[in-house]
Amino acid sequence: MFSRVFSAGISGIDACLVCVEADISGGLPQFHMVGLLSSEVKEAKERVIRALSNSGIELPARKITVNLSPAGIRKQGSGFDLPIAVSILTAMGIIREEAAAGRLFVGEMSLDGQINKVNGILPIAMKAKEEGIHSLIVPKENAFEGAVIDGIRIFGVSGLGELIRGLNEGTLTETEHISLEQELAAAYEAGNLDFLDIKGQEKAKRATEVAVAGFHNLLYIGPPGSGKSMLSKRIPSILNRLDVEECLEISKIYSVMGLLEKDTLVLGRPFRSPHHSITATALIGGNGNPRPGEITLAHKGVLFLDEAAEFKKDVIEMLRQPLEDKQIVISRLNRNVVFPADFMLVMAMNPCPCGYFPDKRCSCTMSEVNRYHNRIRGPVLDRIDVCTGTSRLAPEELEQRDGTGSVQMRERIDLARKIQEERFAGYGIRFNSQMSRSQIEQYCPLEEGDRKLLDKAYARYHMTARGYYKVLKVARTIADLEGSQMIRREHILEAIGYRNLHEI
Amino acid sequence: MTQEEYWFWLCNINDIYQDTIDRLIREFGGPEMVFRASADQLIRSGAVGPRRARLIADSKSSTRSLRKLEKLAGNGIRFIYYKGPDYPEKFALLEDRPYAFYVKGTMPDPKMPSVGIVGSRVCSGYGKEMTMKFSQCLASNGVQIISGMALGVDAIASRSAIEAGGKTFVVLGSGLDVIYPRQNIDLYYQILLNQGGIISEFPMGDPPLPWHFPHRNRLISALSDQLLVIEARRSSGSLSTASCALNQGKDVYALPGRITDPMSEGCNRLIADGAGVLLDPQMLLEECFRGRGRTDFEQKDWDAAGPELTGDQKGVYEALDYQPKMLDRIAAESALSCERTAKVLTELELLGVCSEISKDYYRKGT
Repeated sequence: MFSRVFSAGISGIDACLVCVEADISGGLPQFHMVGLLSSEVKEAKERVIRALSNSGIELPARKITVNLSPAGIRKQGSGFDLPIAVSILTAMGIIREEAAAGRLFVGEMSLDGQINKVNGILPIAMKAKEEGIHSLIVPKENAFEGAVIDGIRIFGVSGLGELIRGLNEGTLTETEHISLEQELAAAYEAGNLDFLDIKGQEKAKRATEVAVAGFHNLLYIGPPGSGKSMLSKRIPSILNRLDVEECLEISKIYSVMGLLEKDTLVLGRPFRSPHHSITATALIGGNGNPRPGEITLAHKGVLFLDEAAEFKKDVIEMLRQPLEDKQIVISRLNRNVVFPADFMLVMAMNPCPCGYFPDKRCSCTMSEVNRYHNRIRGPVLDRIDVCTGTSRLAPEELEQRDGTGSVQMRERIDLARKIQEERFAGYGIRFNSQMSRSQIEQYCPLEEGDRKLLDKAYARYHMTARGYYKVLKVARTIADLEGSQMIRREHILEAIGYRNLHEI
Repeated sequence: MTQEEYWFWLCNINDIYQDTIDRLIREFGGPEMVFRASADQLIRSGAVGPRRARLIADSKSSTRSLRKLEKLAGNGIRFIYYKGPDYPEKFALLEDRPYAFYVKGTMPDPKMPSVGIVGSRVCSGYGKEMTMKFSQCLASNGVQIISGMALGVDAIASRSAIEAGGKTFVVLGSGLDVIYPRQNIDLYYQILLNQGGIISEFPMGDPPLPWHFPHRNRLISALSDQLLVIEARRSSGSLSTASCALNQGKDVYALPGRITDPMSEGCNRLIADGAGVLLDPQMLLEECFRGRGRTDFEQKDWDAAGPELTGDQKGVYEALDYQPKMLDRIAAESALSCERTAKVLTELELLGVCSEISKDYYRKGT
């Protein structure tokens, strides 16, 4: 008596298809599991035996062999309990063979036969569709993750008894399909953080708008309590709406990490703000069995590093490659894993160790101030195009009511984004920040007088060539925000105002 | 041994400095006599204790110091000793004169007026601006600027003098080959390239120890005819230079500041104690050239009208101060939007009339 059902495991943030086979044959009563299993999969044996027994099913006193193939891939995770049980039940003839065949099962089991939720159902459902498997049986709590995928049927079950009856009698209830498009639209409308909440800070808001429009990385410098975190938390509210594809891409990561909130995918752009004590591995991902780090969790969203100067220098430097490649390759002895990491980097720092420079309260010496800024010098600072100050509010500003809000900012940003899309169609890039030097030369033409102005600034501020091109890129974005074809004098003046004073 | 070699030997013994040398010279009359005295005689004279007497005795057998003297000339450094041919009269008049010192470059010309400019290492925008203006104005009229090459006011004074095409002379608190602070290494060579001079009474290789600086200060004031104190906190090294100058009978001028400003506290106190008030360079120049028969002075650096400001630039410039001010405040005071103000400030900065001190903090001057 032999049977086979489908299941799936997780590798990195992708699923891989696994066949679970059970064979019951003559011999000494034994229960064997093979197929390069990690310890949590080996433990499945005890859970399955007790769960079956507690559901009133006694295993026959014969030799039972369970194989998870392909045998070359290491099986990890607790989702194999359910397919192992189903394959044994099918081999025993308790579940009709036709009922289980061609279906994919994932789920962890309790000793009483209850089926518990697992991580990574979304990538498994996507993989199943790719492999042509159209029916998935998953824990009830996870069913919503699969329900967003078109073209597959997903059944949520909560107990073994219910599953056996359902399969044999064909009465399993299919989870209703969820329209992601509608959910995304609703979530976007309901977004509650708005730049309107921030009083004053018009310069910092404007800088934020410019940075978002051209996907430039951003640095806030300001004293404690001047609203740096408040500003950055509102950046997702002016990023463009998630489309279905992006939503699935992000949700897949969160699904694998078990970070999805109850009954919903990630419907807004992520905002991640790790504490400055974070290790390099937690930031970029890693571990023996590589797991995504904060940069991957911030994929398609914002990675906010508050107190950027307090981060360990080597940790910050780790950001260099993902900022360039928009992904991170984690190499381990037996395999490489690629995690996506296409995020907007936003950093915030004080102007000096005590936080008040150049105010009279500041007690730092000039060399302390410089040393403090040097902590994020180098490759990461090179990739920050926009730098702005933030200020504490004056008392009269607290009363102020009429600031710029997210809606206005979004309108201008949408225009700029559209212009950029047209400009870069076919180039494989989407934003001004990604322009190469030759593209800058091509798309940032200046009139003679404006060129002179920029050259003057280049000499006055001892800029590097990189700094010079940064100003041009940012000026391009500012012109795009206005829908202006040419980069004009005022665009350049504004862009120069966003340069970092501590850059060499 | 020549007289020069005796002096060099005496001034290059470890742990023997001005005070000890002074006592030895008073007791024995000259370095040669000190050299010939035995350790016992040295102790009996009361000028030194047994430890120093031994140091002196031990150093006689070594020829190391004489080899060092030969090397100096190769490095373009002159060794000048008391009663030697080049010893300046300004030092000879001092009660606590240095018996020997080292010069790289030239010494100030005694026939031309010289003015010392000293002040705080951390000066405000106001202090910086005023130092530049006074120094430039004096230097362009041929006044030699004396200072200490410290950070802040000292360095700005010397740099401005060079920019104005004048000469500047600095007195160090370390050996001539120890450039301190390191940041001023470019200034060190600029001074030499522009016919200035660097002076120190400390042996070559001596580190900038804290007690060196009060000694250094008396030489700054000695070389100056007038001393300007630009900005000084209540307990500032510049005030020690000022009191040296007063003891030496030199005129001291202080730059007045706001009475609430800690950066000006020292200066205001000097004024209260009777120092001259720095109002404009004209009176200072007249004072400098009194008896030298010159009365017409150029003041182009002082009166120089800034670049022509237009439109919004005027309003924004007026809202600026010598203290750094946040962009939001400037925008509020000039009644413009933040966006517009930011652009105008960048324009002004490119015109060279204001500068960004920290992100979005601007102040007048460069």
